[in-house]
Amino acid sequence: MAQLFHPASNTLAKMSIISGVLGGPLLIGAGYAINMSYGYAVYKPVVQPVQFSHKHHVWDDGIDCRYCHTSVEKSTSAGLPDTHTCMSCHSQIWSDSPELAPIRASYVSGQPIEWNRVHDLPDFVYFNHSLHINKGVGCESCHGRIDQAPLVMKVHTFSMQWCLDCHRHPEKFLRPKEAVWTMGWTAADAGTNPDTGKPFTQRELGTKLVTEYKIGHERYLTDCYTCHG
Amino acid sequence: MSQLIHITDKKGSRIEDKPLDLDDVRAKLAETNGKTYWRSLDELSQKPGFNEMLRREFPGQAPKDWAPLPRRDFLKLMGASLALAGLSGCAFQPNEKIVPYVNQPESIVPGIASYYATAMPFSGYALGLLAKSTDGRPVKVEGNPDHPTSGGETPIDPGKGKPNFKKRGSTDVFAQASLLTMYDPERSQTIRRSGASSNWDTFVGEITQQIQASRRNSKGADFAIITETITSPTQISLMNDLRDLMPELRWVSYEPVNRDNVTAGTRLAFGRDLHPVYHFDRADVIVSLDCDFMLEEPGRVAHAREFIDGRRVTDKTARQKMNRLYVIESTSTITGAAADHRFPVKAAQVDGIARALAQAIGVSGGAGAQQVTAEQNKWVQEIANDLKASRGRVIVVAGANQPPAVHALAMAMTEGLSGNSNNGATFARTLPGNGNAATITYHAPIEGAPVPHLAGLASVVDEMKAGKIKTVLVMGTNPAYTAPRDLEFAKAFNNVPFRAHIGLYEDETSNLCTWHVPEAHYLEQWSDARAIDGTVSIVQPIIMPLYEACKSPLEVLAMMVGNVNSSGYDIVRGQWARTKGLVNDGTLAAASVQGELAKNSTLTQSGASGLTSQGVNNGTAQGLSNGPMTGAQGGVAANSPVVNNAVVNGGVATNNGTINGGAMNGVTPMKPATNGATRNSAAAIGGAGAGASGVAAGTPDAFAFDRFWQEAVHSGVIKGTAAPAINVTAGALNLPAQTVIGPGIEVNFRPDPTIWDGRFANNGWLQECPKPITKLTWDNAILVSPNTAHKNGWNNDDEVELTLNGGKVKGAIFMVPGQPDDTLTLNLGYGRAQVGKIGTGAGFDANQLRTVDNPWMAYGVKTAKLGTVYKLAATAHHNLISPEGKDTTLKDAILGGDDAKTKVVDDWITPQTRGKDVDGVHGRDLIRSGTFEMMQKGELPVVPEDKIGLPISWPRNPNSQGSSLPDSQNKPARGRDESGPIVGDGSLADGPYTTEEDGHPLADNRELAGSPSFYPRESDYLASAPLRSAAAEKELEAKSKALGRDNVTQQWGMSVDLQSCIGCNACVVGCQSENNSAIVGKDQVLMGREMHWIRIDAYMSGSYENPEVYFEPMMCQHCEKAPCAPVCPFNAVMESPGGINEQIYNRCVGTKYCENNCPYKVRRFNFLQYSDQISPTIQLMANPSVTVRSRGVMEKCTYCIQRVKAAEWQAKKEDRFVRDGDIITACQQVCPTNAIVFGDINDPNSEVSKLKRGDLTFGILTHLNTGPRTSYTAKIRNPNPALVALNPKLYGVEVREGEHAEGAEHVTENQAFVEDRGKPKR
Repeated sequence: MAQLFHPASNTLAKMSIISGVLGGPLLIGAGYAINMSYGYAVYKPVVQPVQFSHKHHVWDDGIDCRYCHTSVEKSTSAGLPDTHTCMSCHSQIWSDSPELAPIRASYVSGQPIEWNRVHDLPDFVYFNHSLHINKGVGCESCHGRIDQAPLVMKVHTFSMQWCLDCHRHPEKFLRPKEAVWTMGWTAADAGTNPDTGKPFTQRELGTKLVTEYKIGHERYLTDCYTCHG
Repeated sequence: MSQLIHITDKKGSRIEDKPLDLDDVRAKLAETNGKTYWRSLDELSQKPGFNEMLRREFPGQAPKDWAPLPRRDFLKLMGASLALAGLSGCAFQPNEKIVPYVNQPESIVPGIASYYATAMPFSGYALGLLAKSTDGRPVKVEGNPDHPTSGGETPIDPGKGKPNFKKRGSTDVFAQASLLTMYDPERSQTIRRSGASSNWDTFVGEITQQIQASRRNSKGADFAIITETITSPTQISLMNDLRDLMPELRWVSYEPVNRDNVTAGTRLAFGRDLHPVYHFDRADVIVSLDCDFMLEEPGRVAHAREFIDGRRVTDKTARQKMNRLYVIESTSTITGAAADHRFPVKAAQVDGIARALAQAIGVSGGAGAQQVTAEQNKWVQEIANDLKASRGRVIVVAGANQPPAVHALAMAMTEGLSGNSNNGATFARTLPGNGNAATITYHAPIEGAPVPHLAGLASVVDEMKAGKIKTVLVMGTNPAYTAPRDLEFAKAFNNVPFRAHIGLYEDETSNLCTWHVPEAHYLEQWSDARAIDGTVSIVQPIIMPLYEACKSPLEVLAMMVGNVNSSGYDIVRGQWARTKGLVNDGTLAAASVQGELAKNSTLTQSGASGLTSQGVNNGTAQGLSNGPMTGAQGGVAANSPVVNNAVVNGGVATNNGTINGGAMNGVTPMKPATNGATRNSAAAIGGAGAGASGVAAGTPDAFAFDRFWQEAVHSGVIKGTAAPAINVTAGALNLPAQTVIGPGIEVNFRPDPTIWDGRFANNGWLQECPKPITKLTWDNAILVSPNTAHKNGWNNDDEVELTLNGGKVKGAIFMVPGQPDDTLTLNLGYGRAQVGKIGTGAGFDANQLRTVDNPWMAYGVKTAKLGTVYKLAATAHHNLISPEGKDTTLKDAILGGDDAKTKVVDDWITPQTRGKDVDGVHGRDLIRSGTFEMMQKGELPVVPEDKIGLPISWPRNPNSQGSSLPDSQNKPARGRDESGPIVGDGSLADGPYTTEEDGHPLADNRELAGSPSFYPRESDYLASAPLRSAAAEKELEAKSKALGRDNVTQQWGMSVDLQSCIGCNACVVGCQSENNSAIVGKDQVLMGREMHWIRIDAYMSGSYENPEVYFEPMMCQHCEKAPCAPVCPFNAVMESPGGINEQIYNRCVGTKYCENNCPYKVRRFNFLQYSDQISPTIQLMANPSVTVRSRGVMEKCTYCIQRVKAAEWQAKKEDRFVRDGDIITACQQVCPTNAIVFGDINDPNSEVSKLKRGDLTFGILTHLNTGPRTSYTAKIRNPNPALVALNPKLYGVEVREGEHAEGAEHVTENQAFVEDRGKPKR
């Protein structure tokens, strides 16, 4: 009786075992990637009427967040700059750049520019920028290295799970209020922990700040009406 | 049971409708001992369907109507549903835009609302408002604290060191709902000529021709203008300008509900036209002669506040004196409900009673009173005695429907009792708080056209009929609908060649007109108006007119005097510039008339009325050096530091050009107060007329005027414009003959409590707002007493045809307890022929029965029962709470009425009260009431047991009266983990939580206060913390921190004062506006599906002929152990750390278990897609801080979580606790009488804590162990002991059983009350 299995079957069998082991995670990883970019539109740049570069304005020019997002410290909404803010510089420099034509058109016509929303929380979420800024949540914690983003895109899912990650363990993310605007900040930047004599770790600093800033207990931070209602 | 919807019993068979058996009701009432509270006659009669209605949450869902579904169809449907349900979770978020400003105004911060002061003219009289503007659109109106009508400080208990409420404004139901009128998609939007759309220029051309022709031919004698009541100084001035053009101009004001009789009364009493202003806070005894001064009179908000200030009692020691109100009235009103003694009489009898009262007091004119029965005379004498005893501090007030003689008598009586009758006028009349201050002050009339409304209209109509009038302009009013039928207005009107109409809606009058111009809403126009006391408010627009064609009456009038396109801003500002004596104002130049028109008289108007304290510079004004200012002067303006005071932000958000484009040019923000300094001042002041800016800048006057103007617009009130009181002396009264009481049935006409004279007919909020006493929605009805209905063989909903004076209407019968026998009351405003979808087809037109001679009451009506039925949607039966929760609702539901089991349940359901004498009336009723006399003796209507289970968290000392828990139960619950507040493991092992019956989970709440709970009892944690001094606060914080918590240890609670609630419904509509609650329509109301988050239950007590009425606002009680929570299979009901019962809409799938299990019946289910999410204007109106609820979701009161959150956010940012008064819920804010107080019950010094600790606090259904965060304070009346003794039966004081044999011995109400305590109720 002839061999039922060709010798090559051995290879096939080994391959299938290997692919079974490797393929599972691969599939999951692929699914995750698709989900992130498709379901939550993470890492997906959004086309804007003007291809504004945060990298250029923040990293290269050193403009503070609050120069444009004026109400971030006092209102729920961070605010987007009005056309006049753009024109305060761009009437002087790059004043004839074709890239900026929509800005000039808006300035002349009085018709506002319609930007496409990138970080779009559902309407039943009542997020308050000012509260987070005042309690030591850095811009970077949610928006990533926006200073190095030529085009704005989400770097986190902004899903409820992601919000809760921080609301359950704020100490993992908190930073001193004055460092809220700093990009690339680490706990070590906060100096030496007098207790240990070593640079602060995030856990040490975060725990300290939770107390200092009177951050609520998980029970309060995860209460439904904290964000909804 | 016509009021009940089709009720089926458990097996699905229909419970038959039976007519009300009045004898049975009477017998049931006679059986009762002590006080019994009932909500309707049906409840009293205990008809078969009633208990079913009480027991079931959704009585209208008749199972028998469900056709059996074939199995295959069922599977198909279920399959499709499952598939679709799966898909519905996969929706992607729509792509959204961010649209920033082109040039963002400094005062606008995205996400932060601004408030602007304005005023709502209602029938001419202004109510001061602060309008909340979000992104340039008004989303809510609130009262202006600085305004004399809506504002005012109100102490809870004056003089006892009790807390004072913060100064804040309140509003009425009309102001709250006016927002919806502005956004009404069916508002008129286009200028029309003979029905076809036209334009402003054509209209201007045609009307100018008419004016010119009229001037040429008749000096204006053939030109008539019919307006609503006008108090606006600017509008009056423009009318005078027009009169200069056309000296013979016919100008009349006509509103069907007017003050003709009041003015005629002053003429009888004092010989001249006067405008009385009532100061109820200065009165100890108030007698209302058919006057619903808390709802039907202008100034209703101030009246209610002042009246309640004179009687608020929350503590037994708080007050030494309480005012007393006698109401003699011809229909059931909220003023009658608030009365200590109410006497229902025919409207025509009031005249005789007024004369008898005057006679008893000794005021001239009273002699010869006839037709007063001996019985009536008895109480008239007692009232007279009471009045005389309070000499100097009394008010007698007559209703607008009463003839002038009654008004004259009322005024003469008040004057006669002013303590100084010879020279009553010389009192310090306007000094508030002065014991001698007059209770009624008299002022020059503030209406613009002082001609009596009806007589004026009649004279114009006569001229129309005679063909003398060639042009009629109707502004803002609707005489084609509101005029009495016998005036034949339409016929006369059609006689006029040129007819034009300016109004918010295309209505009956515009139908008859060639021209229709849409009117700008008051939130869209610049104007001014006087409050009831004469104070002028600037009406400031919050938004540009939604529709381009809209014109304000001022703009139309300015056009008619030659300023075709002047803006409202220029007109109003120009007027005030002239009033202030400013000469060279550029805006004046724009607004002024051509040189030839500027006569002296144009400017003397306000001076002539004697009301404006400022001098009127009429001599120089028409110098009119209109030339542009010199450059030098302009330069001064630009550099002057004074100009920098300006807070105007010109050009706010006009960049969008869309309807949500933002606020109007030149609008001055209320907040921030003056930090807008230096903003564009010179350019902005001119507003649209900026070309003339820098105007008159060179003169100091201009600066002064700028400051004046900024302040006036900013605060909404022009200081010092209140009308000065005039000294009056009542002479001998020469009264006309007494009103004759005709034979048979009397017909009365009254404005509708919600839609007034029909102007709000298309306002869904008002249509669906249950009318205060009847609880009718969407209709008016023939209101009749049960006895009269019985006598005539009528039942509720029976259609009856009324024929009177040749007019004929068909309406449905509705029985109202307290309505005098043999009278019918018809509310105006319904039966509109031409109005939008909302108002069409509702009710009948009572104007068809009115006559010019007697527009308010009539005899000789012929009634004919038609045999047909018209379903009325009254909500009195909806959401019934069983007063004895355990007996009917709970016990019946659990045990199905099995007596043996009931006995067992009785034992465990109230172990705390077992063995105590509390199983009778006390501890069960939904209302607690008592008398002031009783209070003073220390006999409280609330017993300590009433507070069992009521979270009055501070101090949690079991030995004090505020204790809610026995000591043993005050200990922390077992299983509590210090690191987190979750208590127990929540398993059934902790105690019985649910039972099963018919497969439905039911919480039986047999666990008692302090026993394990799913939910944390935050207040327990802090029970041992000391009072919150600064040091204590630190300690508290440390404690909180130790428990792992932040400063959200504040625990929210509410206190509702039944004493202060007048049932005006402002909170119902205010809540609807704040929380975007939907209206559902009449059909759905009939099914009991109205969506109001707060309702006002009206309970009655005593005989149905003249019951005492108690209003009880009912909203989610935010139970600490909420029965709704454990039954939700999806965890959609949560308890917040602050104690707020949260409804999580996204989790809710609509099982409705929670609603089923709520003993208070305050949850509302969206059976259909009720909220309008399509109409663009309605979207603009929505409060963006409130989550959208759609079909299939349960919703309810959230204690205005968005307001709580806003305050908490601010507090967190500033690292502090939320201060008392920072959170004002929507219902609290609108309340004219401060009946609702919200705050931190953990803070011993908060207003709410103090109220909750008061002696009169009780909880509703607390024996069910719900631990409601909302508590109530008892209703206290102040009856006259002499009158109670006179007729104890009338006041529900019963002859006690067992005493019958020994002869009927009457006991006083107090004795009966005290002795009845603990006796079985029925």
